[in-house]
Amino acid sequence: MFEQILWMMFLMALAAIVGVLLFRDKPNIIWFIIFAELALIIRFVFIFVMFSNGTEYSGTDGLIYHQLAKDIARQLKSGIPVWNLKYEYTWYTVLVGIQYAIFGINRYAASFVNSFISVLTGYYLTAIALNLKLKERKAFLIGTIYMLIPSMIVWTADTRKESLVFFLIIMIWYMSLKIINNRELSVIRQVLFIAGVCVLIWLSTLLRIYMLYTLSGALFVFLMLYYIKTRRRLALIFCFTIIAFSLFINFTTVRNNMRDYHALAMDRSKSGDEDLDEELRSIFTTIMEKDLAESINSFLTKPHLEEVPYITDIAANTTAIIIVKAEMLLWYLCLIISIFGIMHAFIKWDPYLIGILAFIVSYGLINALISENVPDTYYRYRAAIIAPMLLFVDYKSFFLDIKGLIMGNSSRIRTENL
Amino acid sequence: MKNKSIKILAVIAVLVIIVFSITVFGFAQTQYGYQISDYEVEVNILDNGDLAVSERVKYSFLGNSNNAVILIDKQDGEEIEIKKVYTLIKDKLIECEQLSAGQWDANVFNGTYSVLQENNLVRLKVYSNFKKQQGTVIVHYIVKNAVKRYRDIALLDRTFILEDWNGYASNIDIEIKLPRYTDAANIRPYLHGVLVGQKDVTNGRTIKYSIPNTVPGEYVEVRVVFPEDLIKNAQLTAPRNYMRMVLEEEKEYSESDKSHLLKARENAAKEAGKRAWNEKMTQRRKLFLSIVSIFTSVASLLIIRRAYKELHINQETESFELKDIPKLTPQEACLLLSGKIGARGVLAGLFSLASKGFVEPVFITEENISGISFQISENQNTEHLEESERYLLQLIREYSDEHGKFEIIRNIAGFSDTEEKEIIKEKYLNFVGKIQSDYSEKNKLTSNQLYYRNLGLILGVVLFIAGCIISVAYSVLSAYLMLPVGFFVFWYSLNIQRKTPYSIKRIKALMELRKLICKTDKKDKTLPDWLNDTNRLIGYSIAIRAENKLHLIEKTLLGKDIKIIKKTLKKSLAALYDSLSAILDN
Repeated sequence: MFEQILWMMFLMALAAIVGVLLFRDKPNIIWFIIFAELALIIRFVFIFVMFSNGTEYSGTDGLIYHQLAKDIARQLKSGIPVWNLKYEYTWYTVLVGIQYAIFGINRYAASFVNSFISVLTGYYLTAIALNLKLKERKAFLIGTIYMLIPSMIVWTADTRKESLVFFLIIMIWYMSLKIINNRELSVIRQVLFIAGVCVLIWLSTLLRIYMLYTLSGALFVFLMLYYIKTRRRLALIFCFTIIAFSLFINFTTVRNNMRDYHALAMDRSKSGDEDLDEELRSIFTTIMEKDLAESINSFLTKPHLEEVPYITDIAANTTAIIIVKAEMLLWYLCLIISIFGIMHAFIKWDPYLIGILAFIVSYGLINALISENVPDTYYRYRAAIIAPMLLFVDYKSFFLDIKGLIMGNSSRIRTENL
Repeated sequence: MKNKSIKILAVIAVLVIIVFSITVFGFAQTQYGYQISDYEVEVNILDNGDLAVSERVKYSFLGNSNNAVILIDKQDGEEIEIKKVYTLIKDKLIECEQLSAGQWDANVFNGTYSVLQENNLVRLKVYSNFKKQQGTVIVHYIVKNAVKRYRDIALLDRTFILEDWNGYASNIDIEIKLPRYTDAANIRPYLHGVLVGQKDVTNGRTIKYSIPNTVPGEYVEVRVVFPEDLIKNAQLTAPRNYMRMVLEEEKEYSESDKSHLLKARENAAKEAGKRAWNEKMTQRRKLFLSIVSIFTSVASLLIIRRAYKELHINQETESFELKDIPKLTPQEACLLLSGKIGARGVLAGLFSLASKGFVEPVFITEENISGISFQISENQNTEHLEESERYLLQLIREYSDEHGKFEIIRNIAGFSDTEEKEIIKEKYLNFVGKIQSDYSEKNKLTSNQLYYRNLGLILGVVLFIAGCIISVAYSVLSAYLMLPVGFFVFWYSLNIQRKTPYSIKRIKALMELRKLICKTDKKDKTLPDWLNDTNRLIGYSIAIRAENKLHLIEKTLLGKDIKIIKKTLKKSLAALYDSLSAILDN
């Protein structure tokens, strides 16, 4: 228990320090950091509740990764170097394995680190909102909401890879915005940031194979639109670097990992040695069997309110059912409001927001088409788009623009563009 | 404050109502609980009173879950031991592995199962490669101490479909095999929990039950009474006779009120009716919304066509040709061609002022310092200038040095302070506003055109929103059509001013000018007289993005080398662009 307390204290202190460093010149920073710490504490409490029956018997994916990480820690301790480690499913287990090898096997600690990463995601989401010139109060609200969403607490508190996936997505978009927005960056820093984005895309691909296409495709949309709008050569260089790097990953990492890809259930009747074509055929068969409109509906809206009590993990838990139902209602509200935000992004012709939208759409489409038609699965996979979606939850600017246009003050929109 | 709160509350209330109505009416009614299309059970009674059970369950619907659940009845004193679990994939049996610590290297996502011991049942969860919410699971298990042995009889009492199961099952076949043959007259089978079902002692050893289907609320409980000596290795449950008790219990059951079973059937029928009605309504709704989506999309496009026609009614008779271009300021030309002002508009505006004698451009071509500076000429009458030009001149005067010199790179790029940037941003936006206002004044929309523009804007928004909501909430594929159409209608209406005859004629003339400048054949090139003014030429060439083609004009500009001018212009434009971008990003 003492070790757990030390971990928690350390991560809470670290969260506060990172928060101060990131938002030092902002006036409402204290409240924001208090909410971030609260989000961290809630996750810690949830972890203790989750592991109340022992860390070796709780969870599904989280437990698998924990068990695999233990094996990796054993490998590391036996002297096998990191690059020769044998691991299954995802390199996230290697990360946890390294942690176990250094600090000792402790699933609590791994979960605490995941919680911290989730808070970091909230920070960087806020930083993106601030860079997009959203009002400080609104930017902090977006970050706070993200950190306190109940399902997000569940997905990011266990030893699952979700926390890292969400973090990588937000970091890629944060860094891309930084490269384009910060004109004072030196060339070396620009190169380093671009290289950083490429590495993060690669890491995301290792975590979820299709992330390569959603992320690089969306970045392509962003950078090309930005180039068309501004003719800035940096955007073109950045864009072509991403494309070249993505092609390279496509023919190396993706090809190698396609066989082990398990988001789609593998057909064990094929004895596990099916070739790549068979795997691709199986993916296309799954896609072709789906009703596109129904699948999109399911991905964006499931679990429907009446389905919530049937989610296996929360069945018979009235409090959890009420929380999930409330969250679903808020999510529907968020979806409706974000329509105005999306339209506003188009009116402004904001390449960055349109790029993020391209990511949301492509990620949504892929998951709608390949995920199992199970409410809980959609619920978990959808979590990756919640953070970027929150950037669109604004109806006010849109109505102001429309009002301006109809009342004859169209300059408000046009003049914002160069 | 109060009013604002009321407004916010009203908006939230409307949104909540929309959300609720979508959740109530929009989503297709889902089928809950499992549906089993075939349920075959083989029970072998062992001579020690244990049961070797084999269940083959074919699910036609997994209840929106990614696993199949089998509930195994467990009574007091019984012990359940799961022996083997299989799933059937493409007619091949795949043996499942149990999820437990130490076995996690197994392919957890396919062909695994978990066993949860609950009070009076065992919950078997099977994970496999189930597709379309369908699958077949075969489970072999042993039930220890299942048969009760009394002095006079042995009694098997077992429930196969549990009352709380809450699913639908069809074609239930249960076959029970005694350890040995006996006289069929000594075997008494009973069936509880369903109103319809058959039981049959097929020979002296086998008892068969056949139940066509069950609905939530019904259950399948089988009781078999047979000679106790068939399980001679089983321990006596109680040293007493039990047959009389069984007969009493059965009499009690047969005379009992079975209205709850009738009610279960009734509810199931109601549920099925409701589902069928919902299904029908969903289909109708989809059809209706598909038609509405297509109709509104087409109607919107027709409205845009009408708006297009409206733009060409009462066209201005006045023509606009190359020679008329000077009537336009270069910054307006920039706005017409690209829809924005930007660095080009500013620089072109400066050269326009130069052509009118208000400033004098100087190309600085020293090795280290190259750029353009503008020297202000004093005592000029600004009355005939347009509003935007006057404003630009005023800005130059404001930011020029004590000698009346304004250097673009030094003056604009030199702002690093946030407050200064904020001021410049405001001034730039004012400048743009004045150009747009000048342009709007000259390019006034008629009331009809204005009507169509506003109608298009509103329609575009409504269509886009409807496209988002209907396509997602009601799963209507054709509703996605409303998204591009809505966007197009909105975009067209937003830019309608650039599609008026006024704009089109001017854009055409400007394009013609660009073509002329870019023409490589110098012999055929006859430039209009007004282009003899070098500053004017540079101004318009910047506005129409032809400043890099100036070498195609056979002429010496300002006594300088064209290459140097081009290079300087390029550099100044880039610097101005970067500075303005930074200022606007501020």
